[in-house]
Amino acid sequence: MNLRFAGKRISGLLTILPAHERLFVDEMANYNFSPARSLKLKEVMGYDRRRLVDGPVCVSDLAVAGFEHLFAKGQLAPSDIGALVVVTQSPDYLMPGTASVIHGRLGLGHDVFCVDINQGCAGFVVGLMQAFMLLDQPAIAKVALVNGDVLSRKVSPRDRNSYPLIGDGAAITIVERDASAATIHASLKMDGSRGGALTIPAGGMRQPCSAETAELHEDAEGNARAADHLVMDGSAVFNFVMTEVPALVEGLLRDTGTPADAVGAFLFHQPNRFMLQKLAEKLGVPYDKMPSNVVERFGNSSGVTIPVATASNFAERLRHERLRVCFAGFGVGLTWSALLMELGPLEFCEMIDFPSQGADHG
Amino acid sequence: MSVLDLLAAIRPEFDFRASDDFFAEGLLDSLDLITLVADLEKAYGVRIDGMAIVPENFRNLEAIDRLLGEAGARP
Repeated sequence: MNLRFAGKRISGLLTILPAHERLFVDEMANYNFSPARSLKLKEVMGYDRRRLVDGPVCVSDLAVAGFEHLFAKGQLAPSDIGALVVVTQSPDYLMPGTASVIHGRLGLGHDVFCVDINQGCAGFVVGLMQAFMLLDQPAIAKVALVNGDVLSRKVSPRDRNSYPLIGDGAAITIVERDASAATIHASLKMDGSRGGALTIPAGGMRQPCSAETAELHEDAEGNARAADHLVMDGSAVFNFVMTEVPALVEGLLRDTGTPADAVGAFLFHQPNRFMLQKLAEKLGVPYDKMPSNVVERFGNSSGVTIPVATASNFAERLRHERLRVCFAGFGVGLTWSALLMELGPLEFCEMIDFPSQGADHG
Repeated sequence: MSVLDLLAAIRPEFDFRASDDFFAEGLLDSLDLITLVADLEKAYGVRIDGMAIVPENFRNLEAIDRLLGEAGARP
């Protein structure tokens, strides 16, 4: 499905990452693999250091810290927020939604549209689409889009497929109307029939958590995980990304008459360095136009990685310049999405740390 | 470095010449495949298309040789 949005812009972006940093080399002993194999993988995939919450930190904790930072710096006022869109796969509760939790903790007024979206690695692009649509309502002048996940709490520390790359974090993106903004073009595709490639089997109504779902089982590759844990069919996901994402992005560029070299930055979801380099090669995009350094510096925090890639690589430029960017998110669902827009100058583009809580869940 | 040397560097405990299917027989797993692709690209100066990175193309020495040929590696 192709979508277009007129008269909308992103005015600011803030990421909130746990201060607690974990090193891959400190965790290699958790995995049922030789240190030599793990070190080779570290080099290829970019496993190095990542940010994880400690203790019972939830998405709303990260988001509230971010909003309080923006309020304190005068970059946003509570009364500015007409809608709060929260995209997460790791909500504070099954009910109420995390948007409602954040709304309550911030003491926002009653005229705020609050909604949760259960999306993962495509969640930044999907959330932007929802935010742009809400801005068609005259009653809503600004949308606060929150992407947040604390999925490290749902990944087995003995799962070499997922644990070395998982990261936690949140991002707040402010979206508002701007009559002078260039048209934004987007494309979104879904295939629920392949949803089993990336799932947390237990914890919903289909298979509630129990002593049985908490039992660890070792797979054929030596990874130990329970039904309570995230499980990813790495080969299926890799094949999905290589098959679907380049075609989607090429289609978006072609349909909008945009040559690839007219795009200043390809800000894609950050699954790992290897996959991003393969995507860049497939699209004929130089590596330096498609950052792939988020997993090695901060970890893969699902829908938060695009804001992190943006802020960690382009913050200074985006505070002063306008950049044509192509966002692309792909993962859980399965969902794949891309969005082409002018980004910047931003009123703020910043990364802050969420203080360590002292406890350690790993 | 030969393909066999690269495979032995990843999993020195196995005899890759004796296997017809490295994945089915448990000599390599999906993450070893990623490591192997990176090593082959470096050793042979080729780029392997992302769509070609599937176990079938790396299941034995013959399949890897065929893929390297298609990628433009000199024998």
